[in-house]
Amino acid sequence: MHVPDGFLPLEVGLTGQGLTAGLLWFSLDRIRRLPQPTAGIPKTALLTAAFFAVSAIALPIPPTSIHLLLNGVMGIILGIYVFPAVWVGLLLQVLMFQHGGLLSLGVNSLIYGVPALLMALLFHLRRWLPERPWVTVLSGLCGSGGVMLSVGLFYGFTLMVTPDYWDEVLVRDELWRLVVWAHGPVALMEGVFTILLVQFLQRVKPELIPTVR
Amino acid sequence: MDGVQWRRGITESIGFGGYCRGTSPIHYWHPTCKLLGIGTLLLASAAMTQWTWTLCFSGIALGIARLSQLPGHYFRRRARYPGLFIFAIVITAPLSMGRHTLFQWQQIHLYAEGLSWAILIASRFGTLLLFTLTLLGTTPLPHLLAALRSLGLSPWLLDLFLLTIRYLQDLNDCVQAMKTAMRLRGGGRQIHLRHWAALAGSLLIRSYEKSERIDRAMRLRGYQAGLLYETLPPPQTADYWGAGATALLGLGLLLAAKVYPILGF
Repeated sequence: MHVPDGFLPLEVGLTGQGLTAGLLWFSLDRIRRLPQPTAGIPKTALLTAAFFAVSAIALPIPPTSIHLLLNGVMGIILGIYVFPAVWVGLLLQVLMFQHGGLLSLGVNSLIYGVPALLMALLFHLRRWLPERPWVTVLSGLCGSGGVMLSVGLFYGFTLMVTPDYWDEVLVRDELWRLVVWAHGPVALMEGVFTILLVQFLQRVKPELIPTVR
Repeated sequence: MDGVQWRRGITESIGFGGYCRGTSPIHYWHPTCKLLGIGTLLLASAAMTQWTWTLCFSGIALGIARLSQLPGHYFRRRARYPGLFIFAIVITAPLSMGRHTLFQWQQIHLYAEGLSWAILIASRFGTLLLFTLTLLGTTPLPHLLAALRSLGLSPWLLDLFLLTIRYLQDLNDCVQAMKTAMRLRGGGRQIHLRHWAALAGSLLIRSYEKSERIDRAMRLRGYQAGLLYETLPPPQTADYWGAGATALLGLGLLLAAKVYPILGF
């Protein structure tokens, strides 16, 4: 689900690059204000590599298999580091496998990174909520919400390039059907996967889930 | 995506795949000037809204790719995945969108507008991919990152990138070993989602513990952001000429494409 180069008009691509640059600047500025900012770099790099490796695993769902996006769970674990991590992961995909493109890197970063950042904020709500059952509920919401928001943004950008002579209502309805039917089950599965993963981490290595004060 | 694809992707990107060690003029071009020159051509070709002009850029992209002496199978293999999305558009657009029918057979219509749009998207995609692959195929990754740094990219992002790519191969090998262990313990082909979550969790924990050791080692060595990437020698006069010529070519064609319809040709 990467937007390739050449599909979007240049104005959309450049706007995406500008917004991504702004969000990267915002994230790095917040990171620099942390007590030990450089300490987070190796942690973020290795966790980014781990997420990259895990998202390449195809989960068997007969008769096919799916790859998880994991941007919701990345938001949960990496917090403010998540947008730079997503950008690095996507740049790696462009350089290694040509998934996406150099000009559409900004748009793709927004598609994956903004939901991840929003899910990091959503998971932060547990600060004001009791541990049980809210950590489970928020984990599920973050997992599914990350996928659905990314898919929504992807189709939003796709609709932007609709030529004038397309039947806009028909295209919008068909795309919406495709969003719900093709990605609904994936979002549901990712929600369950995120709940199981967060429960596992809370049992085995609770410090991986950032503490809320 | 299997381990072989990963390994090939990483080694080719870092520049050990053989292609980055060529002797063509594009290989010898200074990375910063190359990035600026090919970057301008990329932007100018992405701004084209008529397929006739995009085809001009396709010709330039083919010329530069030919000059780089990169083998054809390098381009074919790397175009396969991104090409699938564009291929689907090129097949469906001429048959489903437009007002003026060019050809009709029973219920199937071939529309002029759809065909023109499909040619524009396909040629723009092909051109941009050729430029990108030529740039990546002739520049080792550390040099490309150093060029990006010289153009102002944050040293934090570069360090994050270099550390990620450094440990990616280790972690991929780790995933393969863990998957094999799961199957040998009786997981079979149908493995429960809970087991996949445990596998992902174990990998994250291993990465986290490793990152703590790396962080301590880096601090002991006096790490500061921006110390991990290479520095490049200054460009020669010929590098500047190359960047200037390609930038002028790109901007000239862009200007011509915008002025041509205004003049009423």
